[in-house]
Parts: sequence; structure tokens; C-alpha cells
Amino acid sequence: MIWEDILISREVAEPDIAAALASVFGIDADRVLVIDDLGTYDGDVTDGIGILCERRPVAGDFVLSLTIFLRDDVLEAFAEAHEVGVLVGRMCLIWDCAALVSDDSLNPYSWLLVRGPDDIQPVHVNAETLDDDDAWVLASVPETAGLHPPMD
Amino acid sequence: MVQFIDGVPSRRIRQPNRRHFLAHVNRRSKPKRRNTIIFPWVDVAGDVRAINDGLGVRVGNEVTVNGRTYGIEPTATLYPITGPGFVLLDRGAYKALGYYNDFGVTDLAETRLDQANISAQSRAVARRVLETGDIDT
Repeated sequence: MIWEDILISREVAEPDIAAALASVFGIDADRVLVIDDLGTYDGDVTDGIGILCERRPVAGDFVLSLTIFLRDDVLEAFAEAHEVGVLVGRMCLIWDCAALVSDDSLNPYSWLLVRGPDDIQPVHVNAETLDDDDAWVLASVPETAGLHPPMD
Repeated sequence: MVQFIDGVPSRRIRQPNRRHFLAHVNRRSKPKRRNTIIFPWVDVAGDVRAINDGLGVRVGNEVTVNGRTYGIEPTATLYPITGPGFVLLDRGAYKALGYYNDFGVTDLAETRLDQANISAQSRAVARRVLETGDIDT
């Protein structure tokens, strides 16, 4: 299943993405495969891979798009038992960044800004920059929010 | 919020982004949890023209014309919500649609969708949308 399709505000290397996903989902890092594009990937995706993550650059306030696929029932059950924002929030603390996560609305410009498991706020992205320039720019940032999690 | 004066929007309304149009969804299109897709036979330009001419019925941040309801962003950009020719896809079906658009309904697409662990149900919805150009919502 495709679990989430998130954007993050900081460049994070592939091994660090794999390590954080493994940590949050409680599996070994060698069960996480991070690639650029599944459509052109010519390596093996073995049965042992539990999490497949596509990592690609984007423009704007957010610099990476991560598409996260869960490939076994145990991981799917784990994901369903936890709030998405909480799991992504844990990753944000590891990566020291903020993330955009889908909300439940049909509005493609309405998202959730996640900076930690307890720091999740609704935000809007600028429709013109997204549609015209493919750039993910926050149209409104809650006063208490930034693109990095609190460090204290 | 875009103001409407005597039914006419104060700014020129912009049509929905291409990511909402069935033929333009690709494997890199970014899905939300729920996504509304527009079938090719819908005259979106006609809907936009009608809204700009004051023929839409606006309620809050939504406007309805020709039976189709669109959301309106503060930038005057529309996004599809519900109505004839619109279909709601979950993330899995939207992703499957992107792979089918990129690779066709082929063994290669199915291999990639297997690797992504996209369910048979999501793939069936995507194929039905592609093959019939419509689906009950």
C-alpha cells in the first residue's frame, strides 16, 4: 500500500531517510529501500524489503518529496494503528525538519504542517506558485510554526 | 476569499490544475488521501466561462455550475469537488492511474504496482476509470 506522500523542508540523504523510517516502524534499516523513481528503477525489490521510499527533489519551502510504500501486512497494521501525523512527526524530529502531510479535504492546497508528534497544524500552500512553478510555498504559516521543529 | 458581486467573481477564475485531469495524472503526481479527477468529456473551460459570466451558484468557498461543484481558492483557482464527470480516487487508485497513464495497462505497469504493493482493488478502480471514462461516484 501507499502509506503517505509527504514533503519535507530539509535535504536528507538516502541512508538517513532509511534509518528514520526503520526506527519509526521498528524494522532493520536493510529492510528499507530508498530510490529516486520506481518507474525507472532497474534493481531488485526483494521480498525482504518492507518499506519502499521514492525520494525526489521539489522546489519551494519544501525540498524533498517522499512517497512511502509499505510492503507487508505487519507494517500496514502498524501504520493503521498510529496517527500519520505522529509517525511523520517522529521522523521530523530525527531529521530536524518540517513536513507537509495530506489532510482529509479535497482541496489540493490544504495540508497539515507537521513539526513533531505533538505539533501538527493546518496550512495552505500558495496555489499560483504550485500550479505555475511546481513550487511548494506556504501561503500561511501559523504564528507558532516554522519549518524546523522546536529544538528545546 | 474571492468576492462575488451580483454573481460575478471579482477576479477572473482560473481553471483547475492539470493534476486533476485524468489524462494528465502521472506516477509522479502528488496524491492526497482523497483526490477528485476530471473526465476528458467535461467542458471545464465552459464551466469556468460560465462562472466568470456570473452563471455559477456560489455558497461559501464553493461554486456550482452545470451540476458540478468546485472549490475556490483565495487565488481564484478552482478545484473539482463533486458532480457529473468528476470521480473521487483514494491515494492507491490515483497512484495506479498514474502508472497506467505512464506505461499503459501493461505488464511493466503491473510489475511496478506489485513492487509498490498497490492493491488489486485500487488497480481495478484505476483501470475502470481509464477504460470506461466514467464510474459511479
